[in-house]
Amino acid sequence: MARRRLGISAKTIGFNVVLLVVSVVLQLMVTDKISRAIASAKEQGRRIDRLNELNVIANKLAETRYWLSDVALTWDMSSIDKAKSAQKVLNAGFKSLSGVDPAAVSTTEKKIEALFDTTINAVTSFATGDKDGGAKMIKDARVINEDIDRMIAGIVASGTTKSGTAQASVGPPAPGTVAEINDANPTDQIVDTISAIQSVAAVSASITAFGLLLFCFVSQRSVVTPIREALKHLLEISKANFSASRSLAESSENLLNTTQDQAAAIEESVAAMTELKSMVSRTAESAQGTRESSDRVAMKTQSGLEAMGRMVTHMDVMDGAVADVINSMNDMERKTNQQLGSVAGIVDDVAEKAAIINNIVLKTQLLSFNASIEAARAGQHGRGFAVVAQEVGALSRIIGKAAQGINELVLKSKVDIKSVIDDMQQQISHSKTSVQKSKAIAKEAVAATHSSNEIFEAIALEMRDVKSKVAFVTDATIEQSKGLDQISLSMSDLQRATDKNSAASDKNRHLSDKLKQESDRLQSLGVAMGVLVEGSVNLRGMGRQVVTFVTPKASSLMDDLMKNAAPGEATAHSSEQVFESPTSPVLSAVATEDSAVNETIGEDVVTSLIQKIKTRGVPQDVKSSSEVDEHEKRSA
Amino acid sequence: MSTVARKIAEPKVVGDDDDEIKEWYEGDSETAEDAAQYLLFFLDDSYFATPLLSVREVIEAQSVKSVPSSQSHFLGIFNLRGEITGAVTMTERDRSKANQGRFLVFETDIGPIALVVDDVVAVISLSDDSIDTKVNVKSKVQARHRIGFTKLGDQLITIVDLKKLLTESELININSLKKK
Repeated sequence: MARRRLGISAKTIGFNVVLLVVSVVLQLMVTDKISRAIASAKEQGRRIDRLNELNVIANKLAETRYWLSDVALTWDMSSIDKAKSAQKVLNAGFKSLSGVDPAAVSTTEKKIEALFDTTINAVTSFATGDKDGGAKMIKDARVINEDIDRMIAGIVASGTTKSGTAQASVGPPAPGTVAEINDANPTDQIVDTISAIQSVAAVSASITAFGLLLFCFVSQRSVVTPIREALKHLLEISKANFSASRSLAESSENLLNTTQDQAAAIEESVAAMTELKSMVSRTAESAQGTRESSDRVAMKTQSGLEAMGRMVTHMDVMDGAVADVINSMNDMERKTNQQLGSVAGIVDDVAEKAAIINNIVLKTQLLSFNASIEAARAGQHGRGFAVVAQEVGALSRIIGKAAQGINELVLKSKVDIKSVIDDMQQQISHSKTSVQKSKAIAKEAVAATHSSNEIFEAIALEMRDVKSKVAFVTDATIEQSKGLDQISLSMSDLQRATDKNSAASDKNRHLSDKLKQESDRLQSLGVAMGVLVEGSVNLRGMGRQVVTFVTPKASSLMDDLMKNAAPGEATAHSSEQVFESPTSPVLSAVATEDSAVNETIGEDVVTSLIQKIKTRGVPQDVKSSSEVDEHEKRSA
Repeated sequence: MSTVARKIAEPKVVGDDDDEIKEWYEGDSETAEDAAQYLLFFLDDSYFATPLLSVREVIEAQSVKSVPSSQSHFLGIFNLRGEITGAVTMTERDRSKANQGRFLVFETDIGPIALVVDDVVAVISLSDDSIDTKVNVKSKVQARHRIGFTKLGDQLITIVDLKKLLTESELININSLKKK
């Protein structure tokens, strides 16, 4: 409402300036004729009421036209009602007017109705873009207005028949026609005359204003309106262009930064991938080595198992052998005891025989002694026999000595045999205990061997399991390696794409900067043009801010305002405007330009980027989230 | 094996050598004209000798039937092929050892008497020169039935006369005991 009032007041000021000029001219004219006016004041007084009536009609007609022109200028249909209410009063005025040709009145009313229709049609045509039709309507309206003027002149002429001719071009009755005033009170007449003069001046000013207004209206309809339309579009476009190009520049800057960060991240990823690949290949080598080791271990375990089997057999044999040894030792002990017993018996026999020999020796000795005695008794004849007896005695002594030796040997043998038997029994018992111990140890060894065998079998089973697992690991590592190769390829593709993106976004930024400059220039051009055309600029419909410039001097002020206000607005609303109103033609152009970039980056990434900017406003976070999005897109 | 038998068997007693014993016999043969034969015996750790012809025979020890007597060296009597024979000792002798050793049987007026000795060693030949009759040395053997001494190696041998071993009264006493 405020801006409408401002607009109207601006127009009114324009009109008043024109009106003032016209009034000054009229005043000059009125001053020349004031003496005649005083003279005819009386007659004028009589006509006052009549003139008043006419004045009312003229005012109402002027009001009607004013509202219609307002309609034509502002396209505000609410003014139609005001025009119609003024028309009703006008019609009432016509009816109450006496001495007027009713046919002329009804024709005038019809013309006014036609003016209404034409004005509305013109407005409608302009609103629908039919400028030719509008212009034609405006022409019709002008013709109708001329007709109305003529008719009004006719009416006025018929209404004031006794006061001479009416001035057709001006409409109201000329001061020269006030000659028939004949009332007595000169003071009243003078006062009335002055007021009449004032009224006439006002009426003439109004009429002049109507003419000028009509001229303005027509010229506006035919020239200014299209320019204003174009200007309005221009300003809208430049405004939208300005904010969009600003947003685009910022977005391009962000995009460039993000793309560079992305490129760096991709390089790091590539390095990490290379490292991972080498690690995986090392893992594969280790897995291969583990498999070979496990194969060797499995072979060793198998041979160990076989060896253990043989060992078990041998241990069983050994166990039996130990039992055999014990048995044979028992046998040997028994046999040895028997043999030693028989040896002892033989020795005893020998001792017995030796005792017999000894006895024989004693007896032989006695015999030899007695023989010696008998030989001695025989004297000379017994001498030879004595020798024989001596020899026998000697022999018996030798035999006795031998028998004594035998006896000693037998005794010694007996002692030896006894000690031998004792030793042997000790040895055998010792051997027996040793063998018993050996048997116990052998039993333990057999048990240990059996348990070792079981353990080896368990190890062999486990090794089979380990082998299968290692094989699985090796296969998995090979698959991993293949997957990493593919990832590496994809990463290099990604790197190339990012490089392209980077170049594209850089170019984009340059273009958007240029676009911004161009839009700046366009906007200032449009504003300047608007000021030139209308003396003011209505930035209605260009965002939320409306700036109206009243005077041409405000141009520099407007420049300052554009510089200061637009960036703030862009900062506050650019992202929402850019991405939430895609119907904007500028934005669609921007989107077309950006489509090459968005192709690789993806619109959802950009959206999420904007979301991040809006929610956090920290570029690092945006970068990392976009990286995450990239990875997710790739892994998907 | 008895101690006595062993001592007999052992030549050590007279020289511990076969050659020594042989020498005695050779010496006997060299001095054939003026040498006489003696029987060498062993008793109570000493060697004795007596003329060979004074001995009737040598027998093994016999079981002696002891007879109560005042004479300490009369052991008893025994039956020698039908003859009652008395057994005597030259020294104090343990009666429990009476039936051990050898019996030297010799003739007396009252019949044969047996001297119990530990062992009979050998028959030796001794010349009269080698027998020293004058030497008066202290001995377990009474001087009345001692002929003399001789030396054989390191051993001093006492030569005794068996006929003088028992006095007249002793013989009568023995005889009376024999008749009981």
